[in-house]
Amino acid sequence: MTGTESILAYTTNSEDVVQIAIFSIGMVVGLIIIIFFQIVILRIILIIRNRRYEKFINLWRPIIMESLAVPIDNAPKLKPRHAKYFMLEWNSLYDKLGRGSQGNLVQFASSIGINKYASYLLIARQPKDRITGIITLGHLRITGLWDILKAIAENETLVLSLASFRALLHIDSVRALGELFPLIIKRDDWPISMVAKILKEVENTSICSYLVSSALENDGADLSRVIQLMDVLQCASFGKVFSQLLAKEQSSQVISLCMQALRDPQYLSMVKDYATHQDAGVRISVASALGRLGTKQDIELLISLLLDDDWWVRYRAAQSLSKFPFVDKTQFLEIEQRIDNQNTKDIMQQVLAEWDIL
Amino acid sequence: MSIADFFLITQAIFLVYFILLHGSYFSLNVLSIISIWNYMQERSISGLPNTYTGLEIPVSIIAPAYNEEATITNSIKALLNLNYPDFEVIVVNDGSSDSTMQVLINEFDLIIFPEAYLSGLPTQKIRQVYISKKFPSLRVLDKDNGGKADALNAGINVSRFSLFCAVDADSIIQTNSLEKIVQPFLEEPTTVAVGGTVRIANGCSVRNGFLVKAGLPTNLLALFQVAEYLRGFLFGRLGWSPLNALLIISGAFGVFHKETVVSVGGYLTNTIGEDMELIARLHRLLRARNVPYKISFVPDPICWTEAPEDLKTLRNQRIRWQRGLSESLAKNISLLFGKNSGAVGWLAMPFMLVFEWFGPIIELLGITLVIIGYYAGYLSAEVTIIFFTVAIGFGVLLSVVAVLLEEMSFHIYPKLRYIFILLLVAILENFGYRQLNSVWRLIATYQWAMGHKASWGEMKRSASWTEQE
Repeated sequence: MTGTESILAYTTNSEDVVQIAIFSIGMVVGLIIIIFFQIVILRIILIIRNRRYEKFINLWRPIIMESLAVPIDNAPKLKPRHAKYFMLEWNSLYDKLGRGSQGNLVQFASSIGINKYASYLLIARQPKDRITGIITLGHLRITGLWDILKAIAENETLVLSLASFRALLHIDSVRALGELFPLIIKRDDWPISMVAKILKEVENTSICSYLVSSALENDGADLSRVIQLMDVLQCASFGKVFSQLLAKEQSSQVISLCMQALRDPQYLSMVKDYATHQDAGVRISVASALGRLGTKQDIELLISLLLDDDWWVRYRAAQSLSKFPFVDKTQFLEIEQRIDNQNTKDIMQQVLAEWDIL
Repeated sequence: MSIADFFLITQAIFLVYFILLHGSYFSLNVLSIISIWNYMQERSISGLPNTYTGLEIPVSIIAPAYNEEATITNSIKALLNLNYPDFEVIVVNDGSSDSTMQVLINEFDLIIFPEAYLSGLPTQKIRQVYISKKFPSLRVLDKDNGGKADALNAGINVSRFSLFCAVDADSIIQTNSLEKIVQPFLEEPTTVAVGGTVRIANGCSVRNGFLVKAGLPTNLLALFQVAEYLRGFLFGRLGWSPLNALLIISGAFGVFHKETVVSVGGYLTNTIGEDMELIARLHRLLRARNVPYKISFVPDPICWTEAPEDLKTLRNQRIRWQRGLSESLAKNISLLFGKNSGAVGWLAMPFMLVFEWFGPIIELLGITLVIIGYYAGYLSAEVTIIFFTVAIGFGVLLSVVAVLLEEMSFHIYPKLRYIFILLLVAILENFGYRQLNSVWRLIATYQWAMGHKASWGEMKRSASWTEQE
């Protein structure tokens, strides 16, 4: 036998290889059995948990609901194993209620000592338990753990840090904004829509002044984020930011976002200056802004945008014309007659159809 | 070389192949378990207020429909009732030969709409565009038949939002699925495509197009597919996602960044596996352009689809999938071991090529040679038994791990009985069903290599879910 043949013979028919194969089979079968039992055990645990949760709900849900209306003096003692369920149920109800109607709920939860359990959860091993604890502490407005929550907001992963930031805003929105505002700008892993949700919930007018300062002081903030937040929060002071920002050279994205956020007609002339901007995105925003803020004198400008090179500019311009209070359907059709471009005519027909349906 | 030598050499090759295959699966399993644990820990509780701000990204849902008269009404009603702040639904009637179009006109009060759409991607002729008077966010395109890819391209052309969601018109999407599948686009702005989990609807209870109770089918073929889908989605795709090496997003449910898809040419109409081909092409072209991008998989957003319950339909489906795989790999082969190909070119693509595309050939060849070797006296009974036991054992292990992943995460199937059935199916599918699949895939590879014309075949609908009033 040659060397290769003997290796092949060894690897395919030798006793050792057969032994290894049998050992592998044993391992595989063993693993399958272990996993099988693991699955069954996981399911049994789930069933036990569900039953426990059902028991908890039957007992505690009526009490929690009652606590909304009247102070509860004779609540049963909360078993430690029910504490997490309580927090989940209580947090969910808290979030469903409007501001101002949560006072009794907070008082009741504090009276049964839920803050103690929530604090323990901050050092829990599982992130979902930590999140539950953080949310509860925020809703209870516990100030004693401020530094721990702040550290979580600054250093932890997306979900944990955002939950912590939200909790801090619940506890003391003025202090939280003072200390954590830079995070809103710097943590670009925080999706803007999630940050906006949290800030909108707080309804603190000082957020706008922080955003204005950040935008105008050129503190290295991502201007797009700042402008979008000002838009969502409908900051009344945006006009000032708009004029000052656009006095300097800005990226097309920033200009477009400025146009989208603008609600103050006094800056209309600045909007019109961008009607011939080289970036189609900017011209689209101009066409839309003109529909919101424009006057009768702007009809001609919109008609010129109907002949823009970009399809979306033409479409937005037609939409804006259709929304103008000074243009009725007859006038709209007259404008359409004046246009030579077939594609624009088609767009205007589409907008006309939308006018009837939408 | 003697026949004995031949057997020795092939056995050694199989041994190496086997070690590599299961080593890869083991690695994918580990990655999936970590991913699903992290996902469940951080995403099972929302730490955020349950409100919308207007900064959510609007989505155009595109549902190509071909001969769907029986199911289209409920499917579209369900789409229109998804929980999401801003979306439109575009149904593309791809030249149906039944009364799909008439059903849509009657049910949704459609009127002709003079759509002046941008024809960015070439498609078959659009006969008419309609809009619903009842639901203005619903538009229907009636076009000449051009296949699913062509219908999707037509839908992309008329879509108005920056993200589009490709769904099958006969699928059932969970109400909160859209919200969850869009999440990666919010968290990572370079995201260009996200896929969600697809599960088998057979045996489930459905009301008004929404799934109200998960169940298991009574048909054995459909049951095998439940185990197969669990394996395919929970570790097949979840494992690749953290490496940004995902090569498949199911055509039944995926969200895409429209501008990016248009920039790579949209869906290819001359391939039968348009969903996989698009993802492979996105990887190839975006890498070639040095554009940072992310293609993700989210295990939570769930779309339910009807599985074939008869051998003929299943055979057609599997042949189509394998041909799709062959075409996608062939068309994007330059991704393989490319200088800038990353994990997708150096891990996922070779994996797909060697284990998914070439796998059936090796598997069937292995079985045939072992049987011949045994009868010809070249292999001992002991070695033959070991070969089959190891091959089947590892198959069972993979399926059982998939059931474990399901049990660690979503507990979709509520009854303990279902878990036992799934475990039993995970074992049984390795005795015949898997091998049958390999035969079909081998046929598909042969047909592709010979240049035979591919076709979608007929999907026999058995309405195998319970429609509740």
